[in-house]
Amino acid sequence: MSKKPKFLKSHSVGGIIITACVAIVVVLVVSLLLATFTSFKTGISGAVNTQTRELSTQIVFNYENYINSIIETSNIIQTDIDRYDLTDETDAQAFSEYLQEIVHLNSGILQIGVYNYDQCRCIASSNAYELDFTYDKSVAWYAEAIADPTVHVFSVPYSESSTGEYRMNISKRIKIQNGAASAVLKIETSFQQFIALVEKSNLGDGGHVTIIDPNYDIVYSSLGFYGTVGATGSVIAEEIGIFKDIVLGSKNVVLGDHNMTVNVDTLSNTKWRICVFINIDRLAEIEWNFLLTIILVSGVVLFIAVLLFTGVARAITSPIKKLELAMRKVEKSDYFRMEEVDISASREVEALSLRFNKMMHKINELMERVITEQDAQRKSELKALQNQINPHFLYNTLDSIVWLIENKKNEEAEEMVVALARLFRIGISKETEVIPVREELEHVRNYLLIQSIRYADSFDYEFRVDDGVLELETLKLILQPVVENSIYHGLKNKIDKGRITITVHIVDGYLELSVADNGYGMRQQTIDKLYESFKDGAVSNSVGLKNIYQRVMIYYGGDAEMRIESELDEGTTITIREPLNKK
Amino acid sequence: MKKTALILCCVMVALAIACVPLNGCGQNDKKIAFFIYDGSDTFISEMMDVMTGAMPDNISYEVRDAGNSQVVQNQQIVELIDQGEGYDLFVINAVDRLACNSIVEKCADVGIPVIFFNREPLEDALVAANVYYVGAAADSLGEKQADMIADLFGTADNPYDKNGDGIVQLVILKGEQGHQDAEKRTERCVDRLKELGFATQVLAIEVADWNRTDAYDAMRSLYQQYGDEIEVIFANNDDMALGAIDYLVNCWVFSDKGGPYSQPMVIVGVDATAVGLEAIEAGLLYGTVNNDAQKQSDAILTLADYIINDRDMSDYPYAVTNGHYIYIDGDIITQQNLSS
Repeated sequence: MSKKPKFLKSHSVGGIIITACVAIVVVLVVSLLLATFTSFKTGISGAVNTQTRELSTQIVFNYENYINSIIETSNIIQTDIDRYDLTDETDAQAFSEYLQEIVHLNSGILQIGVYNYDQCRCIASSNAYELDFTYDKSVAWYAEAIADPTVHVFSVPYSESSTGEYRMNISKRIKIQNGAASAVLKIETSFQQFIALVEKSNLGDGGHVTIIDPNYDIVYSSLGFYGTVGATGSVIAEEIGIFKDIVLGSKNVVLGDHNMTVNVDTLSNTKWRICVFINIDRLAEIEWNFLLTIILVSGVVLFIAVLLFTGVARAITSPIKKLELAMRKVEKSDYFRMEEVDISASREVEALSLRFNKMMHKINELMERVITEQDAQRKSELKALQNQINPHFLYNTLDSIVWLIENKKNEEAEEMVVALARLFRIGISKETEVIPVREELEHVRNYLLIQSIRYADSFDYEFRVDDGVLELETLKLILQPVVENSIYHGLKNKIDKGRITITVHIVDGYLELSVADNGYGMRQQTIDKLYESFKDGAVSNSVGLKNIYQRVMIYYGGDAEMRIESELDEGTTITIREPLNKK
Repeated sequence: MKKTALILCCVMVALAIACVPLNGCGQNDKKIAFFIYDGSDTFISEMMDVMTGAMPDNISYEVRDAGNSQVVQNQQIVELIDQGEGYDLFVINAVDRLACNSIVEKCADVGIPVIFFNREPLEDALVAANVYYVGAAADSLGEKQADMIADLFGTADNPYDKNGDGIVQLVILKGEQGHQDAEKRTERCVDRLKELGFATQVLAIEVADWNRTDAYDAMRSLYQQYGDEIEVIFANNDDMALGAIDYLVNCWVFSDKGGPYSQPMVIVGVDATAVGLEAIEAGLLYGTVNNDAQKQSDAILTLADYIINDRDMSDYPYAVTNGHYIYIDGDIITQQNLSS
């Protein structure tokens, strides 16, 4: 037992069971909760990531389709242009008509023109008004196309002033006259189709598409006019930071009040990048809801577990407690009372209670044996004490009788002998400890008779006996020594006539026998000393109050008492109190 | 309860330790990732065979095929960067050469050197350190095609000038529009002929996206429109030349009639792929310019070695133009020098 681990010390079994089980369930539930949530979160964000990537890829593809269709048109024109001699006016006219056809066939293309290399003068166009118009050679679509003949140049989409419609110019340096000369092809396209595509895609609240050039200048944003001050402007400034961080690829960011996933991709045939922002607030919401749900479920599971384990623990411990209660009852009571416990519970506890009952039986048996043995011992002790009375008294009485006979007081001598004989009959005749009060009183009367003769009527005596006490039982031979004590210590050598009053009555359910004298009385210290001598254990050899006290105590235990009340020069009363016992 | 917690902790630590060796192995190996624009491109796949075959043992590599989509290639690049497995080098054959600017920026951000090949980035893309391009000298490939034709047409009364007008009637099978090789080869072959003093007439330029099937269709429309007017076919690569040959053989323009094939029109390609060389041997393809896969692969692997091991670039055996460009010249291959 000394090696019992610290944490088990002085905790109840129920407590330990509940704590252990609840701890296990908590660990289990919490780890399950974490695992579920993590896998859910990974799963759902994976799904959302895939979905958003699909969506943004779709947008990029749409855009690339749009660009590719224009480039295809451009390639067709580049191939077909060799069929026309643009230096010839009718051929140039025919080519312009050819360009018109193409514009007709492609709803997205608004205007196509070819501009000569050295002047940037329009030499053929689908739009007749554009013909012979000369642009400044520094114009971006022209200058950039001249600079690199291998690529198509895409202008920044611009809002057409009259309609507010977005447009974009695509230009390329091309060969004309079967490679004999260079020129610049310009295709003006409507950007509206692309905008419509973006608007149709469900990007969520605040979701949008932004296109940036390699210098991180915004080419286009579906949020609206870039560079606008205010909310949009600050969002765009924030966006540029995000682009610089991602460069290429995707990331989840917080933009404004929204959680967004951003996909940054290149746009084919351009140096631009397209950034698709998709609102994923819903993801956070779903995650939160899921977390709430599983926490709630876990809480319920925990609660049920606690209830269950409390029940189990109680089922185990309550029989143990019952057993403990029974034991405590035994421990608290002054006398041993055989009491069996009847517990139906787990097999172990039932076995325990069975053992307990058997132990109780054993104790009971041992107790009975002890009582019997003690009884025997007490009897022998009592005998010894009773036997002590006789020699003193017998000697004194016989001495008195001798004295009476010597003085020829035969009548009195006879009376004394008769009294003595009666006295002894009570003392000798019965084996029992207790006798009726009547006999005890008779005994004392005989004694007083003897003593009053001996002391030549130097004291009176009186009996005050309540009705109905005569047949009650009392320990025998207890009054006579007290009376003897009164005579020797209270009345002897008293000048005036002494008086002894013997009272027997019932007080508060007890039988009280008292002997009062009107002798010298005692000091309180003397009384205290007397009491002390009563309790000092050893069986006294002297006949006297101590003898009585011990006998009363041995026989009745704590239920009886002996009281001494005294006042100097007034007298002493000694009262013996016994439990009521009828024969 | 402390005991339980202690046991749990121990289990977790044990698991964590158990996981470490799985990630830790082969730390000394260098890792290269190859990104190719399209695995079905014969020239690219031949180059990959050469490079992976000559790969040193201490270098592990990975090859990603973008299936001709820049969007896919971007995802592949970002994916490998995000995996954080510490690649030492990316070798990228971009789908769209204009995307190189963004790719360079992304790789420079995470400090991964890049070698582009086959598709030449614009000059403003190769601005970061440790970013290179290895490829054919596009100008010289087109010029050498022209040189072959010049040799054939140089003599008077040559059988190739079928209408005898002294003008070379030609069509061009162009690779992908916007591809710098396609643009340059297309431009240089015609220009070179002119420079050499030939009168040329470009009948048509058809874009066939480098591949054999598209070239077959393109040839059909060209032949239907121009028929035997066509004297010379410049194909930007062997695959397209073979596509044209497929059509011409199928409709009996080229026929062997028991002997060697008649060649009513001269076809020249670029690349000298294995199938291209077979076609030369069979007398179907007049000639090709060796877009030297072997040499380019060697240039890339040597450069990779220099970059990974941080060697002094001044010892690098190939000429580096503008600090970033390595151009490999090509050789003419016809039936005359085929055996060598």
